[in-house]
Amino acid sequence: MNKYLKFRRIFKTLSSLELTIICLVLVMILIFSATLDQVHLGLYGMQKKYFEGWLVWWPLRSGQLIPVFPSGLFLSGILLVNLVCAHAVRFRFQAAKMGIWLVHLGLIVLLVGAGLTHFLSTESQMPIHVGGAAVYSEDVNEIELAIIKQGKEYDQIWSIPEARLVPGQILNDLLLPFPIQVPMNYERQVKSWKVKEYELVVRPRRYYNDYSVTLQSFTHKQYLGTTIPKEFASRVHIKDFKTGEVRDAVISMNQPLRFRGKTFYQASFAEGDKVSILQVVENPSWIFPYVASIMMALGLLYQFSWHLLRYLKRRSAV
Amino acid sequence: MKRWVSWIVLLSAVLWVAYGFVSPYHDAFNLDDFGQFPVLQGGRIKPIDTVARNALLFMNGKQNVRINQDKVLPDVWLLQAMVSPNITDTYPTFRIDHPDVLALIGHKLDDGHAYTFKQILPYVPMIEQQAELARKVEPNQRNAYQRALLLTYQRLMTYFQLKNSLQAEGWRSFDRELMSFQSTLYAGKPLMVAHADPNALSAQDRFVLDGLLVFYKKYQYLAQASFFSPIPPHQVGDEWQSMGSGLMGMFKSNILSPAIISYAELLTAFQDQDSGRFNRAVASYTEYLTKKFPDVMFRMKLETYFNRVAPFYQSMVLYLVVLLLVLVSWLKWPDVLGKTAFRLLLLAFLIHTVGLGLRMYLQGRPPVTNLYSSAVFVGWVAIVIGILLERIHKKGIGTMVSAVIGFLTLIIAHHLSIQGDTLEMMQAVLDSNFWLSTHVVTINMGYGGTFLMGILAHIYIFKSMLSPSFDEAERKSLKSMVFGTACFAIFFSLVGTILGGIWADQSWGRFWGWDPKENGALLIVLWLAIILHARLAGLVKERGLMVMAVFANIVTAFSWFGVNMLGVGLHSYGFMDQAFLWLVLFCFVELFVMWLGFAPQIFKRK
Repeated sequence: MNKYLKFRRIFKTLSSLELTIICLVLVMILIFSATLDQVHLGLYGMQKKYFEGWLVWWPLRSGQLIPVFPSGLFLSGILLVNLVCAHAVRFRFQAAKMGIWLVHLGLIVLLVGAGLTHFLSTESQMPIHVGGAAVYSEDVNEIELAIIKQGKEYDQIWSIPEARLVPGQILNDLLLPFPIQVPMNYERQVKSWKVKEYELVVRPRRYYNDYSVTLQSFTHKQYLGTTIPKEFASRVHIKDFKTGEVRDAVISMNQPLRFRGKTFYQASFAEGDKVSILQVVENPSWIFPYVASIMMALGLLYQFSWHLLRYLKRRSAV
Repeated sequence: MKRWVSWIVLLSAVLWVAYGFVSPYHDAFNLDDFGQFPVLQGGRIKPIDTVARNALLFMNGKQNVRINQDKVLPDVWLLQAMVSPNITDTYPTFRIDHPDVLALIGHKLDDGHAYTFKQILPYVPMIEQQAELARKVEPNQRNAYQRALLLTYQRLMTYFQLKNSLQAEGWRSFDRELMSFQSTLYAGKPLMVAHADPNALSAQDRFVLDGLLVFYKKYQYLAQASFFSPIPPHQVGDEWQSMGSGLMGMFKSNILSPAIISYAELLTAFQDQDSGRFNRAVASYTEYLTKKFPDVMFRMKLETYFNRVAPFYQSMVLYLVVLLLVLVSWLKWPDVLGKTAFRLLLLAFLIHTVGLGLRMYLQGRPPVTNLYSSAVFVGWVAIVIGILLERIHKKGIGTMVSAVIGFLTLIIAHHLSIQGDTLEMMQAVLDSNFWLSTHVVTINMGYGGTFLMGILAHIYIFKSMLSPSFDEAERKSLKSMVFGTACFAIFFSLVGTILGGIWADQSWGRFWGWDPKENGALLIVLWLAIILHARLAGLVKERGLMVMAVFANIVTAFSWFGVNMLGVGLHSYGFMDQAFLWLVLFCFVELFVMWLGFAPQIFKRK
C-alpha cells in the first residue's frame, strides 16, 4: 500500500503542469544559450554540445568538464514522459477539450519523430565534378576506419564506423581479416598506412549507393549587375546498377531529387562552379513532423474557433 | 463645437495626405518625368528617382542634401552629380559616425557628421588601404571600426560609380563626345575590317585607329565604373546595358540606341541650363519608352509616386496623432475625441494598406521579403487585430495599441530603409513565393500578435498604477484581450514555425536545422505556451499574466532583430550596429515595466 502511494506521488509529479512549465523554461534557456553559442561553435558543434547526449558540459579552466545543464535530448525526454503521463491521467472525452488533446498528441508525435530522426537519419555530402560521377556520399562529421585489400579484379573493403572505434577496445569480429586494437587515444584525422597487403585508411564516413550520379552541368546564375545568387542548379544523370534504370534530373534550390529512399539537395559549390556539392539525406522517419504539424495546427484551430464562437455567442446573448 | 473638432481634424489629415501627391519640383526642368526613366540596378529595373533617393539614403541617411537652408532634391542632385560633379563634391553627402573613422580623415566627433567628397578626397588612398585590411577579416568577426570603415568605403564607391553612370566624370558635353566618337567611328570602322595587319596601315590610318582605341578604352572603363545600367534592351533577348557597354556596342553594330541619344541631349541641356531642350529630350524619350515598354513605364510611374507620397511615413505621422488624440480623450471629451481617433486610425491604416499593396505589386512578391518589409507588415497585422479589439471592447484601448504599434514599427522600418533598396532581389534560397507567403507571413503574424499582447499588458500595468478609474470591468476586458491575442499569436507562431520546418525539410532534408531565426520563433512559441499553461494551472493570476505578457516583447524582439545581429544562419541579412544598442535599451525598459507590474503591490504593503 505504501509502495502504491509512493508510485502515485511520483506519477502525479510526472504528469503535473508545474513540471511542464519548468521543462519549457529550461528548454528556452537552453535554446537561447545554444543560439548565442552557435557563433563560436558552429552549427554542428552547437548541436553536439547542447542537444545530443544527456547533459551540457562546461569546460573548467583546468580542462575538466562539469555538467551544468540538462541537454535537449534529456529535456525532450522528460517532456515526452510528462505529456504521456498527463494524457493518461487527465484524458476525458470532451468536445470542449478535443483541440487541446490533438495539439498535445501532435506534440508527442513530433517528439517521437525527432528522436527517431536523431537515431535513424543520415546526412552526407556528395561533391561531384562537372562531367564526373559519384557512387558514394561522405559524412564529414564522422570518421570510419576502412581496411582495403586490393585484388586483381576488385578490392575487398571492410569499414568500421566511428561508434565502434571505442578507445582501448579490441575489435575481433569473425568477418574482419584480423583483430584490431583501437589505441587509447587517437586523432580524428584523415590518414592512411599499410599493414602487409592491407591498406588502412581513416576517412570521412562513406555511404555507398548501388547507383551512380553523374553531374552533367552546373549552373550558378546571379542577378544582372549584382553578386546576389539567382539560381543554383545541377543537371544529373542517374544510372541504377541494380534495376538498370537510367534517368536525368535537375536538382536546384528548393527542388530536391528523391531517389530510392534518399533525397538529394543542392547544397553548395566549389572550385569556381566546377564542383557541385549535393546534400544527401536518408531519413526513414521524415513523415512524423508532417503528421504532427497537421495535428497541432488542426488542434489549435479547433480550440480557438470553439472559444471564439462561445465568446461571440455569449456576447450576442448579453 | 465638439462635432466640428472631429471634422476639422479629419479634413486637415486628408488634405495633408493629398499634399503628398504634389510634385516637389518647381523647376523649369521636367524632373518628374526624368525621374521615371527606367534603369537596371541591383538586379532590378527601377526608376532613376529610386536610384537617386536610395543612393542618398545610403550615403547620408536622408533622401536629400541640405546646404544651409536649401534642400537639394534627389533627382536634381543626381543630374548635378552627372554633369557638374565639382559642385556635388562640395555637398555634405557623407555621414560618418565612428570616431576612429573620423580621426582617419582628420576630424573629431564635435565637428559634425556630414562631410563633403572634397573633404574626404585626400584621405581616399588611406581609406582604401584600411578597407583592404578590414575586408580580409571574416564578416562576422569584424569590429565596429572595421564595419564603419567599410561602410564609408562603400559609400565613397557608390558616389564614384554614380558619377560615372550616365556619362564619364569630366566630360564637358556628352553631345560633343558623341559627335566626335561617331565621326571617328565613321572613318575608322572600314579600316578595322580592311586591315587585319597593322603594318599595312598608312600613318594617317593609324592615327584614326589610335583615336578609336582611345574611345574604346574610355568606354570600357565607363562600363566597369557605372552604378546602374540605363540602356534598355534593343530586341527581345538583349540585356540592359551600362552607358559604356552601349557606346562600345557601336563598334559592332551601327544602331545608336535612342537612350544614348536622349541622355546625351538632356545631360548637355542640363549642363547648359537650357530647360526647353531638356524638356524636349525628356518628352521624346518618354514617348519612346511608353510605346516600347508600356508595362515597365506603368510600374516606374507607380514607383515614383510611391517614393514621393511615402505612404508609410504619412501613416507613421498619423498614428502619432491618433495616439495623442486617444490620450487626450481619456482626460476630456471621451466620446468625440475617441471616435475621431478611431476614424483617423482607419485613415492611417488605409494608407498603410495601400502602401503595402503597392510594394507587393511592384515586387511581385508576398508582403514580407526582408527585415524592412517585416516591420511594415508586423505593424499592419497588429493594427488589424487592434481595430477588431476596438470594435468589440470600445474605450479606445484598441485604437491606442494600434497607434502605438503602428508608430513604432514604421519608425523601425524607416531606420531599416537606410540600408538601401527595400525592394531588393531575393537570394536563390529564399526565391520561393509559396514559402514566403506561407512560412514568412505566418511567422510575422505571430510577431504582430505577440507585440500587440505585450502592449496591451503595458496599458494594464500603467492604468492600474495611474488611473483611479481603472475598475473591475476594464480589468476583465483587458485580461480577455491579452488572452485572446496570446491565442492568436501562439497559433500563428506555431504554424509558422512548423511551416519553416517543412520548408527546410523540402529544401535541405532537415526539418529542424537549429537556424537562429527558427530558434527565435520557437522561443516565442515556448514562451506563449508557458504563459497559457501557467494561467491554466493557476500558477499566475491577472497581474502575473500581464508581467509575463510584457516579457513576451523581449522574447519577440530577440527573435525578430536580436538573432540577425549574431551574423550566422540563413536569415542574417544586413548587420545593425546601432540597432543593437536600441535592442538592449528596449529590453531594459521592458524589464522595468515588468518590475512596475509588481510595484503597486509593493506600494500597498507600505
